[in-house]
Amino acid sequence: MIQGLDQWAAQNDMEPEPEPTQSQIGRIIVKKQAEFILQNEPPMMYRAQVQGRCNLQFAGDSSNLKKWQEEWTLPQRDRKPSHQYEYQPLNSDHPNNLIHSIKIEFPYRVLSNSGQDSILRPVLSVHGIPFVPGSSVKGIFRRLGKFKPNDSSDKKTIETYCGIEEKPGILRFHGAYPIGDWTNCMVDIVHPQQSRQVRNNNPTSAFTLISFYQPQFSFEFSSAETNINWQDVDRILHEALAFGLGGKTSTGYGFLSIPNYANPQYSEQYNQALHVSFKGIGVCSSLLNRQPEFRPNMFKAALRGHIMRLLGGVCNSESAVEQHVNRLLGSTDQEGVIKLFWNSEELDDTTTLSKIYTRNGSLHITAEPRASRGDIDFLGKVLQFAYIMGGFGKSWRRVWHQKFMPEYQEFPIGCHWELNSDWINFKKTIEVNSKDSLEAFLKDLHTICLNRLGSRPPAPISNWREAWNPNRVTVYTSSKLVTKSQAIKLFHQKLFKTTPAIGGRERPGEPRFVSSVWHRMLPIGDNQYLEIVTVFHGDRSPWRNQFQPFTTELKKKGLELTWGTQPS
Amino acid sequence: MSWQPYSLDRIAQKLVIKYRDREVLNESHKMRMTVAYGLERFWGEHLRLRKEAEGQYWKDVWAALVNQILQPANILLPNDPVNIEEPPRQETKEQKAAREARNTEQIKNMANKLWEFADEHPDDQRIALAVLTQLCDCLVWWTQRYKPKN
Repeated sequence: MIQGLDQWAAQNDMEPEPEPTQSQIGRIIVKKQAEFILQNEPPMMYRAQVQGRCNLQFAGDSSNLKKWQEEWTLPQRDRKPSHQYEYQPLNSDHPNNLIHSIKIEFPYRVLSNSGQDSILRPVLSVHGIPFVPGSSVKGIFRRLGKFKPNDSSDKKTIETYCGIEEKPGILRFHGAYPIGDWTNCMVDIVHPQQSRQVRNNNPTSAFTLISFYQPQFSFEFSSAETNINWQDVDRILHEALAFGLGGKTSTGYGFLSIPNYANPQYSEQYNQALHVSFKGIGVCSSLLNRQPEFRPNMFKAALRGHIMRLLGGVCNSESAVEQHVNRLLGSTDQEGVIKLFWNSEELDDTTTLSKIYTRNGSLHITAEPRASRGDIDFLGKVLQFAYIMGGFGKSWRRVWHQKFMPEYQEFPIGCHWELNSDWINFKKTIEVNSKDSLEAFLKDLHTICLNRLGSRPPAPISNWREAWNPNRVTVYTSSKLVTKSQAIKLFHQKLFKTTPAIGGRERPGEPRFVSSVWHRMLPIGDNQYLEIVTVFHGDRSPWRNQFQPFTTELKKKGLELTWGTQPS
Repeated sequence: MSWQPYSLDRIAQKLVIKYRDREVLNESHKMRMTVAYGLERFWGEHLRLRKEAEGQYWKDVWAALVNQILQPANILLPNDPVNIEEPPRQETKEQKAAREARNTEQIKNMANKLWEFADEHPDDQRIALAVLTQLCDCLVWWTQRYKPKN
């Protein structure tokens, strides 16, 4: 505003300067607060993004992140952000009533990356309000159009909305804005572990990212045409969102409802997919603020890790294995041909402060048309392998101590997964309910892996700690079904728990190694279990001469060699 | 006083040609974006990406700005070398803390110099940022033309 402009306008018989709009007032507030911050020290985003100066990306020290988030959202006393987007329903008295808004709630997280900065974060609009750009919303409309048959009316409608080369579209896509307190649980975390768990023992870093937590979005559209069928826009938007919004959809982010292949109503797609219902209990992942969160991305992580192990045991080319896994499950360069979706059915007695999850849910796996039937069958086998040999999520290498060693009370260890249903659509399923059937299953899987990517002659990647090769890994199982774990106490014996290859640490309280031993109590029914202990011994150095004593003890407990070779 | 060509366009072209086969040219766009956050943020990126070819590209662009463009114009932007010590295979907690403190000290010193420069020579800082913006625009322009197609 220019000083004296009002008087000048009055003298010259002109309109005085209009009152500042809400938006202009907002900008002045932001500017003043920004000036306040600047008076003290440079804002976090203006600093060098390196350790010691400002480390937004690394989760180890979250103080920088906290400060940055405050600079960004300018929280009020109730910790809510200073600026929120206002939902404008159609036909209200609001001057923007030509905008058609559709309110949509997402049940899980939504990730929309701006592609800028050292941290994954959404695009920001005025006053720092994050949003999903209109171009992205238009993108999901177009994506839906690709899946529609050429002669369908929906395809033509989408083309009318989005435009074709000869004719511009009639719909304007204004983007999607979170409404309400959009800062709730925004700080998300990714902790890539594959390298540490499969290849070597090198330490890994956890990274932070910003994603919307169970957001409510206002999707906004407008048009110069007066005869738009807004209900149709609404319907198409919902249908388009069934494929997921934003990034990381293959790990469960961005879904509004269950995708079609996981919904029996869409029988054609459902019948081509694999389905299984699980019940699991275990140690819950936690966010940076220590709040526990059950994270469906652990299923994909388990599958990816196991495919690496299985193929790394038969093919000695790291790049060939990586290429194969990336084609199946995707990488930063390409979308994977396999899609999976975890649908939680209920949350039992998990409280917000509990470090334990108890979940029922179904996992659905499907493949894009460019994948082969063999790909999806292979993924099914790997999923069975993951279920039979260990479990999913944090601490998956150990049995659930509260169930199998209730006298142990120090802190929660392990997980326990049971089947709630049959393996639907899984081809050639070998039912594993005994030592012999497990042996048959593992032999079959190894043959499948050899046929899929085996080197000639077959050889493992020798420097991977968990390459699944019979010369480097041995599986022991209880000769008969048991009701209690025979081996669990071995892991708590002083000698073994300080052996890096078994207990994972040399001194109590210092986690340093990923254990080379998996322990599983596979439920067979009637409170009976097949006890399975998997031992990796390709690299003997972390065993500190305890390999023979440990396997001898296993045999004393009644566990017998089931797969692999008896190591000397 | 004679005409002085600062040759931003040619310098940018040389940089883009130098890095065109190293799969790092996408950084040009990030540089153009980062310049909005000021000199410290731009300078710091070569340290964050120091283990990769991207870091070398950032470092070269910064060096070109300081030495080839601003120095002849008598705008003397601070440019201390920072040698980040990477962790050895094994170190105690005390050694780790000391190493990190040494690294932080170097980074903070240089960052402070950049902000002091802005306080003491606000016009020069603005010129530096404007020139850097233009240089990044040139980098983006050449990137769009020279980036190898897959």
